[in-house]
Amino acid sequence: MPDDKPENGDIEALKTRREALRQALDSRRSAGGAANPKPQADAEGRAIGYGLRAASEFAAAVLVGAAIGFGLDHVFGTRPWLSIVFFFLGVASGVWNVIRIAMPKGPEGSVLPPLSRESPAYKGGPRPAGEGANGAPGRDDDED
Amino acid sequence: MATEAAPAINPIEQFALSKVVSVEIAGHDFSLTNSSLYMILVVGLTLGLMFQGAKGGPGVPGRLQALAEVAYEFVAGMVKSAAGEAGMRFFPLVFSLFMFILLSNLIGLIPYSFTVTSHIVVTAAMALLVFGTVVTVGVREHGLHFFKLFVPSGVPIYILPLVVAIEIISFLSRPLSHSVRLFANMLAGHITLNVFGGFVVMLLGAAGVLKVLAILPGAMIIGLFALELLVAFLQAYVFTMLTCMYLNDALHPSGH
Repeated sequence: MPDDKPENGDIEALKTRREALRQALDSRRSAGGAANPKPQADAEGRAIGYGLRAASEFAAAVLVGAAIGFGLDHVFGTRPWLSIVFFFLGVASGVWNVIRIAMPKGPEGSVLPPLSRESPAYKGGPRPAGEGANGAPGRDDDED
Repeated sequence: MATEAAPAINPIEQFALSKVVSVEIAGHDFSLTNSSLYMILVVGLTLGLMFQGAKGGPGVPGRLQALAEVAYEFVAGMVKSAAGEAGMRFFPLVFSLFMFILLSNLIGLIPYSFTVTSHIVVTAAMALLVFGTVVTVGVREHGLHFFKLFVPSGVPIYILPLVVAIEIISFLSRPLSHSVRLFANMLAGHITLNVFGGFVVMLLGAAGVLKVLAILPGAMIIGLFALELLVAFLQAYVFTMLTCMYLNDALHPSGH
């Protein structure tokens, strides 16, 4: 639009429009990422990502645990014992990794659909209606 | 297995390194291999896209600019949501990793091309870079406080040693899972494609009616290729996402 130079009135209109836009942008920025709804296709990719992560992090923790045990055995000359202990520590931290992937902020922040359906108190995040979050943090009676 | 009509098919031949330009300095091999050539290609494409996209100019933004903006917004959103506004310090690192992995994966899907990320040396180097950054930044910013990462709060003292050991193993396993996941996905995907391609060739080499059966693995390749396209993007996404989350640990060690 190089040919139509804005008149004074137009400049005023542009100014108010720019102001309105800036306010809209500011409110959106302050709302942050939480107000940013994720599209559905993204959610599916995310789910595959979570699955791959859980599998590989479990395996990696077991391997690293066993490797540390093996190395310490080599250093201290206690051949099978530390390997055994650290293998199981590796398994434990693998399970811990998976738990952390599944619920990064405790049971309330679980990324997986929770098993309990009694608490409708869940707010935010795209999730099918009718599936609430687990109850209070630390309540795990109906998980298996 | 292979009949005399069909050529022998070696599904891992595609990962072989070959020297493009032989360079030897002080007895060490510094040759330019096909891998390094593709890395240069990937970096060149990224630079080209970003410079061209950032140039702007008069009028309506072009497609390249839209592409560059989408890439920027996507990675910036990831960094902000996983590591907060403070994480934007690491945006250049994260963005470079994302673009490098994404373009390597996508270019690797072009038949006859080479997949840089199918070598664990490459992915491990990137994972160790992230791991090293996390430890360095964490220790520099928080000092000994950084090691609180291994000491979760609210744990009874008598099982604390056990929990700390588990946390340390979990922390040390990060670069392994980080690198193996990307490498294994690309390796497995390309081997699968190659094996099914091999079936087509073998069946076409077979006698008479059996040739018709070649349609089946052929159709399979199409499906697999679509899947590989998804995996190529997904692995770049997962790698970058995890990078952001690990960097978040470096910025806020007592966060969890």
